[in-house]
Amino acid sequence: MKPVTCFLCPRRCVIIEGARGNCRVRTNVGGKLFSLVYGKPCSVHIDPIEKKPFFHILPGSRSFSLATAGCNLHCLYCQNWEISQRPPEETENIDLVPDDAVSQALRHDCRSLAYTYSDPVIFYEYAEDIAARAKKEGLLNLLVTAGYIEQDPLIELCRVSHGANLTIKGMTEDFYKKMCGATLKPVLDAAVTMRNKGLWLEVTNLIVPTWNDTDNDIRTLCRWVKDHLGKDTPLHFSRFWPMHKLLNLPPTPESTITRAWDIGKAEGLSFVYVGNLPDHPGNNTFCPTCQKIIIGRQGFAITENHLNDGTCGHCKAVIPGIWK
Amino acid sequence: MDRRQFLKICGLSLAGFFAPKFLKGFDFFNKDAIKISLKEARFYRSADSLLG
Repeated sequence: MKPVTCFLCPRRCVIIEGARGNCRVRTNVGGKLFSLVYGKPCSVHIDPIEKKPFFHILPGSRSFSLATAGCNLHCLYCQNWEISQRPPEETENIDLVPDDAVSQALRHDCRSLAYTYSDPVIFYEYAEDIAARAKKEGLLNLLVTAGYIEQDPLIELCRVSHGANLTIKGMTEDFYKKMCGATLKPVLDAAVTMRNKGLWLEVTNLIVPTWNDTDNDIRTLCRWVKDHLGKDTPLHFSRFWPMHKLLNLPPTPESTITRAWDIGKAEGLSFVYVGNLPDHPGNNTFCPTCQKIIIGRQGFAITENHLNDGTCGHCKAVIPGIWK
Repeated sequence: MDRRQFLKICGLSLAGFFAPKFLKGFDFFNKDAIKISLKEARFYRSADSLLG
């Protein structure tokens, strides 16, 4: 039998010989645990960094973005379920060793690599190896993650990473259990660890009608972010679009996203954004001191940029982020 | 049908039957083998050792 226990994520799957973990991409062969997706990404794209979203890292730059099949969460609304909820045999994969990922990023004038679409947690070894090489080449490593990871592997991954966009999907254990088949506490712990380890952290919350769209839901998240991560942590409220197993719900009304934007600002967060609403003013970065637009955005495109060496071009206030 | 034609048909049928099974033994005809890799993972332990 030779069962093994995986300590990568809080599920701590006990995997018997020949079986796979809950993520579908880690298997027990002869009493050893193997990743099935190392060097086998199923999605490789060059994206604007705003798409991740990162609004306080190198605005207007390109990010070499990749993912493999699998995920350790199973969100009913997953926007990438066609890769995240599949084993690697059911996706179209290419061969891309870490050195080639870095050289392609450089060749295509990318300033960063983003480990995204599914979740870097489940292709940990691959992401870490690419990140170590990319860091030596002066590229930034950005995690786009649900943060469902144990502390030890997270701390190691932070050593080669520069930033993270962490999705906090809801603020109750019940939400995580029903929506994602997971738990909330490890995600909040991961957010705090990322902050303490010096990663530039942005937080995303997808607002789903009837699930996490009350004033109380939104306010609880804003207060937690402010109290535990700091008021300068960018918080993105993203619009839900019917997908995967939540096709019965309507898209999030624009008024709900605007309400969340207002609550975030009223709670004292300096940088509150909206997502999946390209024309909304919440796409812009406003200076918390003079309230003027520093970075204007139309969807993922930069329309104006008044940032001057990390300061507001209008009033000289320092704007936190990674700007060069 | 003469004996020679009969043997030819039998031979081709047998070859057609066994060829896919034979070729599947090679990785480049095994789609799944192309789609996955085997890299030893980190952060795991023998579950037996945890039982003490």
